Amino acid sequence: MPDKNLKFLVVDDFSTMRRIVRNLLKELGFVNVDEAEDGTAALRKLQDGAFDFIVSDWNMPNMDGLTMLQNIRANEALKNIPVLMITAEAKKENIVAAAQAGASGYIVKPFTAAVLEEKLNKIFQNMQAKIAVKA
Amino acid sequence: MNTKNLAKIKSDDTDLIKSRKTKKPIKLSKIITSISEINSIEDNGIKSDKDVIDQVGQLTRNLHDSLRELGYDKRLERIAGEVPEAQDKLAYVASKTQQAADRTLTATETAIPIQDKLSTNAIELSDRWEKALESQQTNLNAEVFKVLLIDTLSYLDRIPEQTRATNEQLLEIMMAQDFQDLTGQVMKNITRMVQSLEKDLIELLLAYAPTKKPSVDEGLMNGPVTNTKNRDNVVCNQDQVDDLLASLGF
Repeated sequence: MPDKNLKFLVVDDFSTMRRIVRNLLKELGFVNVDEAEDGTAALRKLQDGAFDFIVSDWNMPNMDGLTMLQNIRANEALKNIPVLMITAEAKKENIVAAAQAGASGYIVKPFTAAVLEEKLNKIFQNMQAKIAVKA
Repeated sequence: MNTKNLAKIKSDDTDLIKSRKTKKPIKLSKIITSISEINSIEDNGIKSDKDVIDQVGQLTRNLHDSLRELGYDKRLERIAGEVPEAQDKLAYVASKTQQAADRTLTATETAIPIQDKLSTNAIELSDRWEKALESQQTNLNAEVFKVLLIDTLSYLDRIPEQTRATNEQLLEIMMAQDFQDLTGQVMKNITRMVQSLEKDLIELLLAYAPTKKPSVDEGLMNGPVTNTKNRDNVVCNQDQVDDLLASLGF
């Protein structure tokens, strides 16, 4: 079971979507959730606070989700934070680009609570497996 | 040179009349070229030539007539008016859907804690009953049961009030869907307008535009795919995303 105190950052330019993701996370027991409205704001928040998990949209003003992901993976302090993409972008190229950039998971909108839970659990398993390998 | 131009204009002019009679697409581009040719004549300072002025007058009349005959003048006027209107309508749709989403989310956020409380209290009471019944076998404590009875009754008494509160929120969620009727109508109007705009523009293009294919350069930010038919480069659901990632070894 993952730690329920994990600190989440939900990145989406639509407040409705941020609210939905926040509520779904709460439903899954994760109450430590912060929000950012685009990649730039997210990176700023990531520098300041110790976040454990990022859930991000792709298409956003100022800085899109892919660029943000690339920035995170290139940053020594942030590169190990899992990033789950939740996006309406459904082209195969998008999915491949996200995977190559180091996304931990990819969910296409519209999505269900069950899908979110499944992907989160998969990422948690991968995280634990990585820790186990290191130890 | 001037006479040559005039001759050309004349022949174009007759072409135009001919084409109008035969209901062929009118060569507006030719009219425009002719006008620009006349403009160049004017620049050369032969403005006083009555023939040229007559020609310009006639051409202008022809252009005006042909646009009117094809209905372009009215249609262009209508389009010019409809585009800003469509923008307003779309803004209306965006604001209505945003309101509905907010109302629904607020209602859910209000109802969930009520339901959670009902459930937590029930579990707690049930636990206490179980424990009381267990301990009753060793030493019967009437006081414990009395307190439990009072608590249980009070819990039961509060249930209708709480379910009513939840129902209110469910109704609120239902009422928040009223946007669909309004936005649906607006979207239908916009769709109709865009279709007629597209038709008019295509006709205009066919009438006098060079045939050049617009280059389609799709980036990585296209938003939701609204029509997956006949497209093999997009995924339609989460399973296909998972399959693709799995096939790539992620």
